[in-house]
Amino acid sequence: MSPVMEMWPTFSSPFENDNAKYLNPSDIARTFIATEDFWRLFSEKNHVIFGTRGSGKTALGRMVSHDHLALLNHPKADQYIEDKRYIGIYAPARLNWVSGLRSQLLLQAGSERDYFILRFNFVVARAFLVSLRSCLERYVTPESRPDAEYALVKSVLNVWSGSVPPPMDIYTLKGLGKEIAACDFRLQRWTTRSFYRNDELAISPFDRELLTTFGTNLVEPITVLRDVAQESLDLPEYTKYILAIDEMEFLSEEHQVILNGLLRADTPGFVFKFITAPYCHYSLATETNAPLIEGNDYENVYIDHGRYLDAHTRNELQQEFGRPISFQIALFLKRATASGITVTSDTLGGLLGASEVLEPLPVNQETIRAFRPKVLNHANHKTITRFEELWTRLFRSHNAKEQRETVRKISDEVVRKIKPAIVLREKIAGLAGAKKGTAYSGLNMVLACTESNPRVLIRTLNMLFPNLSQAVHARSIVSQIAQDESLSTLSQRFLDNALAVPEVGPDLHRMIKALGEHFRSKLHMGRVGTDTVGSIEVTESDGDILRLIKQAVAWGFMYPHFKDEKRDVLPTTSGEFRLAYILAPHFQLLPRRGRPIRPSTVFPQISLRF
Amino acid sequence: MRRLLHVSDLDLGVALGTAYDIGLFASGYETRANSLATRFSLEQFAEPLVFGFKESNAVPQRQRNDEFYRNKWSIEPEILSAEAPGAIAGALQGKVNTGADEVRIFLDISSMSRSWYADAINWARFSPGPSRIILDFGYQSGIYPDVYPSRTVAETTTLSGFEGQSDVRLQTVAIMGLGYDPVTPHAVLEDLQPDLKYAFLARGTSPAALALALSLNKATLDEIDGDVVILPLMSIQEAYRSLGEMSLPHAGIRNVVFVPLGPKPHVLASLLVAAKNEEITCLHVKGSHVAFTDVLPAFEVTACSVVFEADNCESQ
Amino acid sequence: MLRIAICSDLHIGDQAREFDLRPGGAPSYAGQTGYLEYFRRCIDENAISADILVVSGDITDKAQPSQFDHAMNVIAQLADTLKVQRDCVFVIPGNHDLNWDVAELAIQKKEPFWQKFRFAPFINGLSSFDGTVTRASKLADPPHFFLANNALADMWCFNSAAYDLPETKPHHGRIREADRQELKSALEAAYGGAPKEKFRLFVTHHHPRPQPDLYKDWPDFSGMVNGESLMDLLTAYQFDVILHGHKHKAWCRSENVAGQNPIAIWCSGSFSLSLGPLYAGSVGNVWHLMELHGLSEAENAYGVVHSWAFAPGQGWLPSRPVHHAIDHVTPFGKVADRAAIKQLMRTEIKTALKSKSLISWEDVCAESSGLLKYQSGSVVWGILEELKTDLELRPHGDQDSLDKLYISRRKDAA
Repeated sequence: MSPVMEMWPTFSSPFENDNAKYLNPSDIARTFIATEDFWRLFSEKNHVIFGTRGSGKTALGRMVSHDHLALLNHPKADQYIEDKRYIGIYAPARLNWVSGLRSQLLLQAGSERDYFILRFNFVVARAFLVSLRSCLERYVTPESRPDAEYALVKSVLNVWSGSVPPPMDIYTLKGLGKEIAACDFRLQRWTTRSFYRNDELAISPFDRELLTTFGTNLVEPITVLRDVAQESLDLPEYTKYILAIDEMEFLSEEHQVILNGLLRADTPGFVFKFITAPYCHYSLATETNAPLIEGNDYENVYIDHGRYLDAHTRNELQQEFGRPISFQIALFLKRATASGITVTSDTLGGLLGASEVLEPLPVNQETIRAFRPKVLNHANHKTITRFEELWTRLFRSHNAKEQRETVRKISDEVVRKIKPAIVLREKIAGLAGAKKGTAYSGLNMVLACTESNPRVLIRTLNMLFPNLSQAVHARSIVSQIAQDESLSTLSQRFLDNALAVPEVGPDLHRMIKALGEHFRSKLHMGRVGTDTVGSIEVTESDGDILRLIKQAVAWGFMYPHFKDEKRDVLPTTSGEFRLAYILAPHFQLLPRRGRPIRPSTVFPQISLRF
Repeated sequence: MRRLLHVSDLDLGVALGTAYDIGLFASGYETRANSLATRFSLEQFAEPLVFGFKESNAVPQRQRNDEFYRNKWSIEPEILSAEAPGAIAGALQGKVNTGADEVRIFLDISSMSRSWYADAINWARFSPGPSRIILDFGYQSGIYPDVYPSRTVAETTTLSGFEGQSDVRLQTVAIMGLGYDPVTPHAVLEDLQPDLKYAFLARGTSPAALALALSLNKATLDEIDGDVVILPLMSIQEAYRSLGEMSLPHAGIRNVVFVPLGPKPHVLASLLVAAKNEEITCLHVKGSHVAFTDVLPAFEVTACSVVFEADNCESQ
Repeated sequence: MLRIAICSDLHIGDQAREFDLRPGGAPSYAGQTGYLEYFRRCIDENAISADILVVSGDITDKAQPSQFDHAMNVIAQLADTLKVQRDCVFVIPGNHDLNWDVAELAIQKKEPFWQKFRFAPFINGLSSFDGTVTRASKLADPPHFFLANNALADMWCFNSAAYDLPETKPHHGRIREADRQELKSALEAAYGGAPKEKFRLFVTHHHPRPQPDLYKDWPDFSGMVNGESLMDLLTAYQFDVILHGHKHKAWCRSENVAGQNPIAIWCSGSFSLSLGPLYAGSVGNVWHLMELHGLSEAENAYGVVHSWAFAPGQGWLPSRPVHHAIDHVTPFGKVADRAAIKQLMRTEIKTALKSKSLISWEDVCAESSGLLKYQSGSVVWGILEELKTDLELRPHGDQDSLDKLYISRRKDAA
């Protein structure tokens, strides 16, 4: 194979790559963890999928596409592929592509709307051809494949460019896709030249035909492509084409309004999935004045609200590793295994050790006795009162069962809740001079700080294990200091990124800092209770703050709290929000939600420019 | 159509002794904005053009710079937005002798918006008229304050005419030019999520300057593929060559995206490479500083000469 | 198989691209370093080794003694990295390796004494390689060539810059007729009437044929004077390969003269010159590994050349034809006229399609002569276009790569 043809980057560490964009299809399929939310996408419904940075949206979108789904080792995937029930198409709205949409120069050639439709149609057509290639590979025998492909190409060209032949013979779908992309690029270059030469656009007859086909109606080129594919590949009537459009947060509101029409109108044979960041489906308006109705035209899927493995994946992992496996551990295990490293469900815990801060204390009288002085030293009056009340009851009781019950009560009501805060306070207070911290270490701490955000988790693991194979072989625990340092560094960098959020960066950074420092002071100064503050409650009257918080959620700096089971509905006019737990090391907080405060508690002290 | 023939460093002394068909200057809010202009005599330019930024009209130093052009050159700077595709090209086309075989133009980019000199480059590539156009670019380096105000990013777009290829089914290679802003590059990488990322930095005018740039950009540099490339600040020829070499292995088989966030000589070099290889995208991160901060002229000055020649035949 | 690493036009001195290529702290604002380290990485990652290292001229930029010292040091490092024995390193002078100060003296003084010393620094520098001082001396003195050989190959090395002078513009090379006659006598003595048993390579600095440059309308005046006669001679004595430098854009062609064996002419480009304004952005620094696989029945060598180009920060990457002028893999040597190749393809394709409805290019290349395996993609696709109507074929694949080429018969054919 020509070495330059399909070069995927190679990685020395299984965690070096934190983005699904640059895994090749078989790698992404091998390391993909199927969740309940993923399978929800395979339905006749349109969806808007929200997920913060690094939440796995792109992996989700890519796995929907036929060429990736076909590689997934899962009975449902096998069934969908076998039955030809769904043909997924993945079309990302990449930043470098979207940036070109804003080019003042290219917009001179026509209306912004028409230009967007033209470029968008090129993108989805290109994406569809990739999925069709996959269909050919699955549904047509190798001997018949070349002819079938050629016939398909001919038919497609017939509907796209009529009787006007392309500049050279095209035999393959890949070649056709390249020609589409080349035509897109040619039109762009000719527009640029015409602008500076102030003369007519001179384009070839073939390109002119494509310009007409692709520049008329939204997604029309792929609806006709679908008809051709149905016939050429003899696909059943019930086949549904899922068009997943990723990174929609980069599109403007006007562009999204145009695309909203896809969720409203019935495009036979198609369903649409918009993948975007929280609060980045900017408008429900459509071009027909009737806005979208959630629940009717589409449904929301919010993937940050817990990662629930689907039943098959859960059972498979449990069988393989002998116990229930969480999403995060599953991610570690899959990545490591895919890199050829032999690991067990205990490996990560073995490498990171226990978290002194988060590990629960044994539930017995001796432990409570030993912990009592700490309660008296750190806890607030209310907590001490409750503790002493139960403590006294314990010693007054002569009934063993009653004693056990009281011990359990003390543990549940006080110790379990306050122990992490007290241990953290002591560790932080013990840091003086150049002494290095150890608080942010241990398996539970790493998992808590990284939440279930795959990118944050993988970045953390990459920092902790530049050579996982060596670490596993040596079976040595990564030192607490090294773990603390890694988490703290990542935490600092994560916070710094807030500065670059468009328009509101400095304000966002200031807000997060103010919140973090406020929570820090409440935790480390004075006395603590069983419910330390750690989140913020906003209402509609907090207009500007709420807007800023939504930006924070979109970019992953904050998360909403869902009080009820409507886990896919993001709070819009009011709600409780907390800082992302990856910020905890920087602000020396616990990776826990905490009791909410009102904005007025914190923000009168700072002024925000927005 | 003209091909970009070559880019070579130019001794400013040569430029100071050259008769130009057009001189293009920008009146900005930095003290160094007209530092180069003060070295030329107006008579060198058959057609001098001076533009002032609409956005910094009220800044006192800007008004002083305008005064220079008004009093010494008897030219009132024409107000133009920092982002105005086609305006510079239109002005050049209006002044150039389209019947001439060759025209030579001097552009002072010390305080010039990159959109303006991008426009000039596109004009040189595409406009009808002379078979040969020579653009001589001059740049006055500056003394920056110890604490440079942070920047608020507004949006990421492309420089007009430098949209490049963005085939969504190809991998993306980002080649980032880094400066003293540590946050924006990282944010762009987070948005762009390229498959491969490379970075280059200016050597600067002292080891301390380089050390500062490396330290400020550590978070970004920790994430790049390959090794960071250190390029001279004051040789656009060298920067052009190196950036060309960095992009050549990928052009045509991946989407190559330049993100020039460093000093202007490197921004210019990036644009010139993209002018030579049209598949390359040049991103433009628009933003604003909290306040207009003055930059004084430093000792170093650099210039380069870029030749565009009528494209009568294909390259090999 | 014989493996020859080719690194030419090093230009060690102020014009070399990086610090470690400039003798002892020469000032530079280029600022990069680690060039040779990148080379080592390329060799290690690709598990490359070679039998011979050829450096075909312009090893220094200004022929200063310090530059020669450093150049030899660099060449020694290249040889060590490639695991090439010292006596298998062939270094030929180019026009930049001629000391102009001494040449000026020679002109002024009009004494043969100074003539000899134009190449003194080159000869002295080469003393670090065992056995090469004698070779270097032969390059300096008429007839300016020597022969080195091993079990597999004869390497004829010629100094085409022997008569270059400061005022010669452009600095084309030359083979004097007297020297060519001497060469002819030597070739006759070595090969006259005997069957060909080894590869025959000719190494020089200047190109014997005009070579196209960056743009087709640029003429080339820098080739070797009397190059035509040299080509006649080399063709007559069945030479397989000519390796040269001088032009900094790599290039290859095969010269096929009726009734004679083809010669592959390979221009190495430049390994480490900081390429000037004209080439910057279009051409890169390159090096090559030539594999000679064998002698065909027609007694000419065939093989492939692998080429790499340098990218700052990324190291040596496979070269690409669009920008580096040379593809990463270039086959050569098995040359036949187009009609013969076409006939062979016709026969092999028809035969293969009898047993399978879909065949790969590899199936077609399984033919016994091995001729098709050494054809370039452009030749193959060009002929396929001609055959597809005649044989009712449908080729499938990317024209960038023969690896993915498949051929079927059209089902809709009558």
